[in-house]
Amino acid sequence: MSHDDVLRAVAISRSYGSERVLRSATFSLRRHESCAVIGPSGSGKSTFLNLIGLLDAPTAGTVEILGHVVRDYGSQSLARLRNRSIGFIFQAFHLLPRLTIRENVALPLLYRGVSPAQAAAAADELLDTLKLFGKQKSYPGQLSGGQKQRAAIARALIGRPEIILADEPTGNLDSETAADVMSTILNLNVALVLVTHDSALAARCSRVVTIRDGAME
Amino acid sequence: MTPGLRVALQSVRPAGGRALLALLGIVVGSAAIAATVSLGQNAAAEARREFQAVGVDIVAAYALPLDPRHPQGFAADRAEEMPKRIPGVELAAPVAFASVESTTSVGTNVFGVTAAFQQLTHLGLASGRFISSFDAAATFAVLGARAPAVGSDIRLGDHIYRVIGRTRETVSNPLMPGDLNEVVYVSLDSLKRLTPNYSIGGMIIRLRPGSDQAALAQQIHDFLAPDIARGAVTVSTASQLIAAMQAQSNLYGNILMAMAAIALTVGGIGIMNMMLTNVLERRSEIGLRKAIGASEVDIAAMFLIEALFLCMGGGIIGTGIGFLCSWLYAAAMYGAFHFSLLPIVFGVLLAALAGAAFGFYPALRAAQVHPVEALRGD
Repeated sequence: MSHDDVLRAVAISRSYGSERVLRSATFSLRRHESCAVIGPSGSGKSTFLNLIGLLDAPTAGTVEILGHVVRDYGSQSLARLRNRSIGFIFQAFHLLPRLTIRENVALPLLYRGVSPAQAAAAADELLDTLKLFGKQKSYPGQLSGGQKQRAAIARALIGRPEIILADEPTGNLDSETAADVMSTILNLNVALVLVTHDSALAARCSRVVTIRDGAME
Repeated sequence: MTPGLRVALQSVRPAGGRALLALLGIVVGSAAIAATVSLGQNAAAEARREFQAVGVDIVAAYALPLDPRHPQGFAADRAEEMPKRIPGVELAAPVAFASVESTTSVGTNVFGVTAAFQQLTHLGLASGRFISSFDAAATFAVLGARAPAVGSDIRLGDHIYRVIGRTRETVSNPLMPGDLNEVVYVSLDSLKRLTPNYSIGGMIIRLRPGSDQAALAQQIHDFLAPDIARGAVTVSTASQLIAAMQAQSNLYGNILMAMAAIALTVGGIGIMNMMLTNVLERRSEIGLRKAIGASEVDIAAMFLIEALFLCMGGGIIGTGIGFLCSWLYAAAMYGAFHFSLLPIVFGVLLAALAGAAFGFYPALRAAQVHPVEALRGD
């Protein structure tokens, strides 16, 4: 592993019963590098993303995040590592409908112990940067798809993570908005793993890996 | 406080209509608990109040003749003799009863008493004086605080009695032969002319402080029993009566507590059911919170706190209702309400306990939601 690597997966596999969804995938990601993961539906892309995002545990192999070898980590330690090191962007946005955009964006900082006032100020600043002026007090239901995804990007970024994991972030957006959101993501200047079906989007990343039938090519 | 716990507290939102229905049981349970505790305290306070005027060292002995048409009473010298024969007895006052037609009523209760009666019952006087040992058979009457009377004389039977005093309002006491505020007092000898069936039917006795009431009651019974050849003597002590009142209050309290426990259990199950539905509906939220840094403990705390707040809300409403009911009851029964924080604390605390107990399983289920499955489900 290069000392510049922020993420490393060594021979990780994931099985559900007798079905092996991911087979011995080895992968590393350098600081500020963007890597697209492409492959057909059901090939194991999302499973791979969940494993390197510490949302799921591999049945074999190890994941290393910023030098921490994640093995036998408890729920508390995993949660802390996710909170400090990884930002997630989902296709379905996953903004909490009962919270305002400001509250949604500020949430990761609150789990870190930052005061609500400081977290809200940081959220407002980030929302302005992501061109969501005046949307702080809006609820997700009042925003367009592109605005929701930009709010989700703000939530992923607010904790200043080293790694952003994006799962089909433009899947629910029209092409024009998708291009805009993609530009935003690619300009984040953090290490990025982007799972996508879209080869044109993948081409905008510095590296592309393919997963087919659970194997990384 | 951990950040996760703080976020859980900040995440508590007002509950919807579904919660209101689930809360009914908690409200009923808390109301029953608050009412039980408050009513118990009020009953105890009332018992204390009833005996405050006369004290708790009082014993009452009554003759119970087999044939009411031929009343039998205690011998006239028994009251004087008793303190000499039974060392634990400080003072005894004989009482003879009659119901006669008076100026204002066809059935006025008249007590034939001696000066010892006032001394023993601490009856205060609003005006005039009480019956004294010098009155002998004089037609003097002392009116109870609420005894009806017109002018300075009162007709009792065929006789005109001079009203020489009126007592102050006193708290009724279950040991006394009736409401002391509504009777007319005359001297023992004077009562003989008002009723053909004159007899000393009661004896009010004060014991020396700290004496063994049960043992003395038996001695008093044995001392008086020979006077009542065809009948019986009952001897009641203040502590016996207080214990009986307490036992009755406890019985009602236990019944109410059992109802409260059932209501709280039913309410708790309702809350658990609602919280389980919440967990199912909010799987995506749970997954998201886990992805951005919430641990299993944080998620469990979030749902547990919601159940706790919900039940405490129900507890506060229920306690208020229970408190109001006990206030209305006490006001109607005793004319006074004894306020205490204990029913409030009990009502809210037990509701919160129900919230914690029945919110635990849904919280556990929420904590166990797998983030990948939860996020995929949206």
